[in-house]
Amino acid sequence: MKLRYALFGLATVGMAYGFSWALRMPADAVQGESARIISVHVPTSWLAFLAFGLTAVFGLAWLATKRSKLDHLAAASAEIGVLFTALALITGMIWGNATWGIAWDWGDARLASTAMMFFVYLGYLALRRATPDATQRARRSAILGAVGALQVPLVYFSVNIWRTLHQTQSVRPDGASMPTETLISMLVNLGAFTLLYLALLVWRTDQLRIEETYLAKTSLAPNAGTAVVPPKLQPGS
Amino acid sequence: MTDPAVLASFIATYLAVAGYVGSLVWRDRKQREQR
Repeated sequence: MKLRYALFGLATVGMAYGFSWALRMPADAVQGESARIISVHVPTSWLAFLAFGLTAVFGLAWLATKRSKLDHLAAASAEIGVLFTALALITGMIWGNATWGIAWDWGDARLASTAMMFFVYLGYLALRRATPDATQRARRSAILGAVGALQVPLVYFSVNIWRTLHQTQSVRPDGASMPTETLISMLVNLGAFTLLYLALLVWRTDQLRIEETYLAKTSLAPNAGTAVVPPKLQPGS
Repeated sequence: MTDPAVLASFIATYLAVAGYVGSLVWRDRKQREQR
């Protein structure tokens, strides 16, 4: 509980500081004011990758150890990842509309692969809801989480593999193709959003643990087999 | 910073995060009632 509040406190301060940096960074020579969206678009995209990557790690760790906490961590991470993927798509569409004059293009590799990743993880959440047995749910979602995470490098490198509308990475090992203030703004927001992810992960994992404990204790798990009683047939009827 | 696209991006992000946090608070409350 204390860890959650500490992380939320740090994330809130960091996000406020990050927002102030987004206001201070210079407007881009080509894109103008709309380039400030980088301070929110890149952190949300990064968190989508981090969240889905960790979903796979926690899921595989569950397959190896069968510790329920790892399954809860995987589920919480996937849920938060879906939220941040949606935000990456929305902020990207707003930025695209301002820069390219078009909000969406199915012909763009980054846009299409991100949308595909978003739908796969919506499926992951649906699969968890559709499986009442805890062990079966953990096993099925761990496998889907591991397979789904293969999309993370695909989405990340899609801009290099298929040169379409979306620009390539702005930060590479050989340097960043942006002014220092823009890079600082992006990194401050990236750090703050990562703290936010950790706070949400701790909170949601705790809730999932309580949910499962409560459901197991009171047998509230949806199970048609226990509710449906076979009819008693009378002889001659 | 008066660019509506920039404002829309930041507002959408903060609102979505606030909405998710709100849903967690609601779930916490519901769990306390059930226990």
